[in-house]
Amino acid sequence: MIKIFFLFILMVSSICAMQITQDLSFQNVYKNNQNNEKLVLMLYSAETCPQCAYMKQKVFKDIEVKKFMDKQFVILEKDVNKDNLPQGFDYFGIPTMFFINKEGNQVGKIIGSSRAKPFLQQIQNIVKENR
Amino acid sequence: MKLLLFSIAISLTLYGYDQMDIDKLLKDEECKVCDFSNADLSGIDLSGFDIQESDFQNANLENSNLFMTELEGCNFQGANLQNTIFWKANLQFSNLTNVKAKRANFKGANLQNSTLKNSDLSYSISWKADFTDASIDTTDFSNSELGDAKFYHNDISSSNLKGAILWQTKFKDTTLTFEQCNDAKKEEALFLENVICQKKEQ
Repeated sequence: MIKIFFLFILMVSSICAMQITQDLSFQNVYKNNQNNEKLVLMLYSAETCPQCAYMKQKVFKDIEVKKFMDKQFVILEKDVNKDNLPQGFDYFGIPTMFFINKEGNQVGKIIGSSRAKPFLQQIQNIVKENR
Repeated sequence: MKLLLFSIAISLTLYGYDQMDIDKLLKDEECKVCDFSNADLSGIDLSGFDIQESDFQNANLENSNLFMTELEGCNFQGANLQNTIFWKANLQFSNLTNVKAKRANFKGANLQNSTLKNSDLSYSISWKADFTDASIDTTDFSNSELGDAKFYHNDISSSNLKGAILWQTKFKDTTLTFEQCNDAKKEEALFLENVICQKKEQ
C-alpha cells in the first residue's frame, strides 16, 4: 500500500514537474548572478524537518562554511510539501542538496545532515571536481 | 533412533529460521510471531510490512529497508543491522541487545520501551527517534545523529554519546554523566525536567 502511494506521488509529481531551467527562481538566480561561475545549491527541505533546520541554523552558519558557501553557491530552497519540484531531481528523504550548474545539470548531491567540518569537506570536493 | 532425532533437533535449532515464514513474509508482506533467527535477509525491501512479535535473533538485515515497518515486540538480539533503514518503523518493546547497527537509520522510529544493551548504534541516524522508557545500557551512540530525539525516563550514563549530534534532543527524567550533560548543553539539547548529571561509574 505504501509503495503504491509513493508510486502515485511520483507519477503525479512527474506529470506536474518541469525542467529546472524553466523554474523561475532558478532563472532569477542567474539573472541576478553576475558571477556565472557560482553553482546553485538547491536545498529540498520542509518545515517539519529538524535535520533541515539543523543544517540551516547551525551548519550553514558556521563561519568557515558560510564563507565558502557565499563565495561558491547561490542557495535555492524548495519546500517539498509546498513547492513545485523540478523534473529529474528525485530524492529519498530530506534534507537533500543538489548542486547545479548554469546549464541546469546536476553536478553533485548531498543527502542528509552532517557537522560543519565534514560538510565543508564535501562541498569543497564538489566545487573542486567541477572547476 | 533417539540419537537421530536428537541430531535433527540440534541441527534445526542451529539452523534457526523457518523457510515457510520467509516465503509467507515475502508473499503476504506480513508475518506475525515468525521465526527469522539466523536468516540472511540482507539487502531486502521489507518496507511497510507487518512483522510484529517476530524473532530476528542473529539474523542478517544489513542494507535492508524496513521503512515504516511494524516491528513491535521483535527480538533482534545479536542481529546485523548495519546500514539498515528503520525510518519511521515501530520498534516498541523490541529487544536490540548486542545488535550491530552502525550507520543504521532510525529517523522518526518509535523505540519506546525497547531494550538496548551492548548495542552498537555508532554513526546511526536517529533524528526525532523516540527512546521513551527504553532500557539503555552500555550502548555505543558515538558520532550518531540524535537531534530532536526524545530520551524520557532513561539512564544513559553507561552509554557512549561522544561526538553525537544532540541538537534539540529532549531529555526528561533521565540520568546522564557530567561529561554527557556538558556535551548536551553545548549541542543545545533541551533539558526539560528532572535531568540528573552524575559522576561516571567506573
